[in-house]
Amino acid sequence: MSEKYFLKHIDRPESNTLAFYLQQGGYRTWKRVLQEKSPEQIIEEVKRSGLRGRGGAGFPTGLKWSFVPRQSASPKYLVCNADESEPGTFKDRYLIEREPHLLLEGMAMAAYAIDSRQAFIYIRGEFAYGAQTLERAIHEATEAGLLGKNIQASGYDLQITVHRGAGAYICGEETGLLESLEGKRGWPRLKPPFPATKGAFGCPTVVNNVETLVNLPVILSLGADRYAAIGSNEKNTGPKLYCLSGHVNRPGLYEFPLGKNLQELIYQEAGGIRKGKKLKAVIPGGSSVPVLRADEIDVAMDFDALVSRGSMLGSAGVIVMDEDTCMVKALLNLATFYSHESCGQCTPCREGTMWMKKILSRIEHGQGRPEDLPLLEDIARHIQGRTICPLGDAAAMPAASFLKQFRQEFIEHIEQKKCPHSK
Amino acid sequence: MPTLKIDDKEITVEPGASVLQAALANGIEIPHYCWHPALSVAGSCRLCLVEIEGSPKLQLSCATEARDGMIVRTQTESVKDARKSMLEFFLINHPLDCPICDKAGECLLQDYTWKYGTSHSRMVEDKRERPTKDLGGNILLYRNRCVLCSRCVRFYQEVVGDPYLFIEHRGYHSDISIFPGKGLTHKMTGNIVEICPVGCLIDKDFLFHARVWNLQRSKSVCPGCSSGCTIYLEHKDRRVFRIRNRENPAIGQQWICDDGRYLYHRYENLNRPESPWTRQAGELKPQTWEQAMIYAVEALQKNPGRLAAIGSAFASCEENYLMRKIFRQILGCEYLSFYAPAIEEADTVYRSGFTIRGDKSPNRKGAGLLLGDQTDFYQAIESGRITRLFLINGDPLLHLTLEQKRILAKLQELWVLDIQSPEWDSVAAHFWPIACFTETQGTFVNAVGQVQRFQRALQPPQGVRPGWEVLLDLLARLAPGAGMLSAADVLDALAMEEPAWRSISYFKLGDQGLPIESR
Repeated sequence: MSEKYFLKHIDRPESNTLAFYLQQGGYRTWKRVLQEKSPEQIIEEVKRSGLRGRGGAGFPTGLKWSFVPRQSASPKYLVCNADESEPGTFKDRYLIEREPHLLLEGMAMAAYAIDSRQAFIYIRGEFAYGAQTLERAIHEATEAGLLGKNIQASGYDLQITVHRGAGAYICGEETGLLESLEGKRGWPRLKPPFPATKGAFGCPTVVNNVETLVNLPVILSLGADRYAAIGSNEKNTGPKLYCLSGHVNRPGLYEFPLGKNLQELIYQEAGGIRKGKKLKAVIPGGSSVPVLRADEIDVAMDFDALVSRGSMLGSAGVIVMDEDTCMVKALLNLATFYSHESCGQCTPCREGTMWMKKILSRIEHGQGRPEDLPLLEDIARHIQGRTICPLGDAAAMPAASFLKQFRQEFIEHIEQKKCPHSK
Repeated sequence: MPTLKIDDKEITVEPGASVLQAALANGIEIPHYCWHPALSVAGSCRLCLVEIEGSPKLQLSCATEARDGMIVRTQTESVKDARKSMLEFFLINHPLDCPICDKAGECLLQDYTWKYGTSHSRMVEDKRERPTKDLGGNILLYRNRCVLCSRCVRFYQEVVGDPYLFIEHRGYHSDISIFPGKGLTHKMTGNIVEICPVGCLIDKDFLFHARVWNLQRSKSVCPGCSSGCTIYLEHKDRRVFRIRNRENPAIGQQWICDDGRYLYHRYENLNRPESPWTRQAGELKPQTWEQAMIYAVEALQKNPGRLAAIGSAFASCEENYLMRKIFRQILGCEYLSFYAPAIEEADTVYRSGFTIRGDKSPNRKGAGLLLGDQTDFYQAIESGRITRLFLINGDPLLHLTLEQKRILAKLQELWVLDIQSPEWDSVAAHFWPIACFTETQGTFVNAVGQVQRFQRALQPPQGVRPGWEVLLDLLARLAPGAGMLSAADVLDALAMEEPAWRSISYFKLGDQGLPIESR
C-alpha cells in the first residue's frame, strides 16, 4: 500500500474546510516557502522534482514556468485549468470538491514562483458545487491571511478569482480557455505566441491543470529528491490519480505512483471485469487517446511507456470495455462527442468530425460500404496534425486506432449489414 | 532584411512579413481563404499549409513569419495532399450550385478546386442545408456556400469597428449571423461581398444580372465624394453592372463605401438631349454641334467684359483647365469661379481610418487650384456684374432652387454644358450635352491632393460629347494652333503651366495617381 497524498481524506466529508486542512498541517509549507524560498528556488525545486503536467500533455511544469519572462512591465497571470471535461476523467472534480485548500496552496506556490499577483481558476460550468466550494475556500484562506494582501507580512499579494465556464469542452484547451476567460468565444489561438509570453489579456500567463498544482505542496514539503523517488522512473515522477470507469467491478478514483501497471489497476485494484466477462479493450488516458486491446494492457501507466505502446497517458481516465461492447458503437459515441464539441473554427475538424460521425452511424446501422473504412482512415489522417488545437487530433486518434485494432468488427458490421451486438 | 527560399526561389522580404505574403509578392500562389491583407490573421481555413524545413508538421504560411534562411516548399506531395483534403472538406457540404451562383467565375472555391482539388465527392450522406438569409441592405447570405473564413466578421470588427456579424453556434453548425433585430444598414456593406472568397455573401444589386466573365473592367475614380476612391467600372452592352473596389496603396485606400458602389445608378436614365439645343422664340431648338460652335465662337468674343465662366467640382481638371484657358487667357474674362455643392455633413471615419467625406464632389480641390476660390456668382449676376455666363456642371444631383432660377433668368445669355438638361430647360439659352464620368476620361484631385486618372468605360450616347473634347474644339476655333488633341495632351499642357502639377504627366500618373505639390 503506497502512501496517499490526494485521497487520504476520502472518508472525511469535512476535508474541504480550512479548519480540517490546517489541522492536517495544511498551509505550513506555503508559510515556510514564503519565508525561506525565492521564486527561482521554487522553480528549480519543481524542475528537479521532475513534475510533468497532469492535464494530458505531460509537459515539464518547471520548464513551462521558466518561459515566463522574469521582468515584465505587464502583470503576469496564473490560470488553473479546472475545466475537466475529458470523457472518462473525474480526478480534478474530486480535488476541487474535497481538497480545495490543497489546490489553493499549490496555486499560491505557483503564482509566487512566477511572480503573479492575480490568479484565476477557470472551472467547468457544470461544476457548480465545486465553484461554490472554491469560493468558500478562497474566502476562508483570505480571512486567515493565507491569501490576499501582504500574505504573512511577506509583502506578497495574491488574489484568486473563480471564473465559471459555460459548458464547452474546447475551453479546456489552454488558449480556448484564455479566450473564454477574457469573455470571448472559446476559440483556441494560433501558437506562437504561447501563453507564457502572451496569454490572458495579452500578458504572460501560465496555465496549469488542477492535479499539477496540487502536486506542488507535496514537492515542497517532501523536497524534490524524495518526491522524485515516487514513480516509475526519473522522467515519470510523483503520485498520480487514475480514474477507472466502464465495465470493472469497482469503478472510481485511485491513487498510485505514476507508472502503476494498467493490468494490476484493472484486475487487482478495480476488482476485474464485471460479471466475470472477458476484457476487450481499454482506453487508458481519457477518450482522445488510442485504444489498447486486451493483450496490450500489461504496461506501466506513465507518459513514456504508454507512448511506446502506441497510446498515451493523457488524463489517466481509464475506460474499460468488456467482450460485449460493440466497438463501432463505442467509436460512434466518441465521434458524436467530438463533432458536438468541435469549436468549428478550423476546417478539417469542423467538417471532418461530423463526416466521420455520419459514416460511423451508417456502419452501425447496417448501411456501411467496404470503401467506408479506408475513407474513415483518410479523414482521420487529414484531420490529424492540421488543426489549430489538439481537438482535431483527439477526434482523429481514436478513429484511427479503433479501425486498426478492431477492424474485423467494422467489417462484420458491413458484411452482415447490421450490428452483430444488437439484440 | 530576411532572405528565404520558397520553391528554390530566393526571396527577400520586409521584416515581419509572413511566408504567405512573401510568396504572393513573388508570384508564388499559395491558396488561402481566411487570410486577407487588410485583416488580422485568423489561421482557420488551413488551406495555406506549406512545408518548412525543420518542422515535422505542415505549417500555416499565413501565420509563420518569414525568417532568414528558411526553406519553404509549396509543391510537395504532402502539401498537395493537405490542400486536396482541405478542399474536399470545404466541398462536402457545399451545394455545388455554380450555375446559379453570382460568384461563379471569380470564386476561389471554384478556382482552387479546379487547380488543387478533386473532381468527385466521397460523401454519400445528406448535405448540411440552411436557408438563405437576408442580412439587410443589399446583402444576402447564402449560408450553404459559406466556408467560415470569418473575413466578413473580422471586417466588421476591425475595419468598421462595429461587430454587426458574428459566428453563431458551434462546430459543424457554426454559421455567420447577425444580431436579432439588426440589419446591415450602414455604408460599408458591399465590401463584405467583395472579400467573401466564395458565393456566400451576395449583392442584391447585382444578383442574377450578369455572369462576371462577360463583364469588362475599366479603371475609374469614384465621383461620390472628395475621398476619390479608385474603382473598377464593370460593364457590358453599354451599361455599367457594378462597381468594384480598386485598391490604391498609394493613398492607403482598401475599401469603398456603398454610396460609391451603387452610385452608377445616378447616371442611369438621365434625361439627355441627343444634340445641343438653343432657345429660339421661347422654344428649345435642336442644333448640330457645328452650328452651336460657330454661333458660340462669334458670340463669346463679343463684349467679354461681363462674360463669366463657371467651372465645376464635378468636371475634370482638364475641363476646368480648358475653361480657364479659353475664358481667361483667350477671351480675357474677369470673373472665373466654379460650382461645388454645399458641404452638409461631417466626414464619417471608420475604425480602420477609411473616410467617407462630407464633401460630395470629386474635384473641389482641383477646380479650386485652377479657378481660384469658389465665389457666389448668383450674387454677381444679381448685382449686374455678370450678364452672360458659360457654365459646365456634371453633378447629377444638381437641383436649382426657384431663387437661383429667377436669378439665372436675368442673364442675357447662358451656355450650359451638362450631363442632363431638365434643370436648365427654363433658364439656359444654349445647352450642350456632355458625357458623364463613365463615358469620359480625365483626372480628379481628391481631398488629400492625389491626382487620379479615370478611364472611359462606355461610349457616350449619340450626339453627346465628352466635355474636354467640346472645350478643346471651342479652344481650337478661338485660338488655332494650341496643339492639344486629347485629354492626355490637355493634362500635359496643364502640368507645364501650373506649378502644383509640375511633376505630373498623364502617363506618369499610372493607376495609383500622384500627389500634387503643395505650394
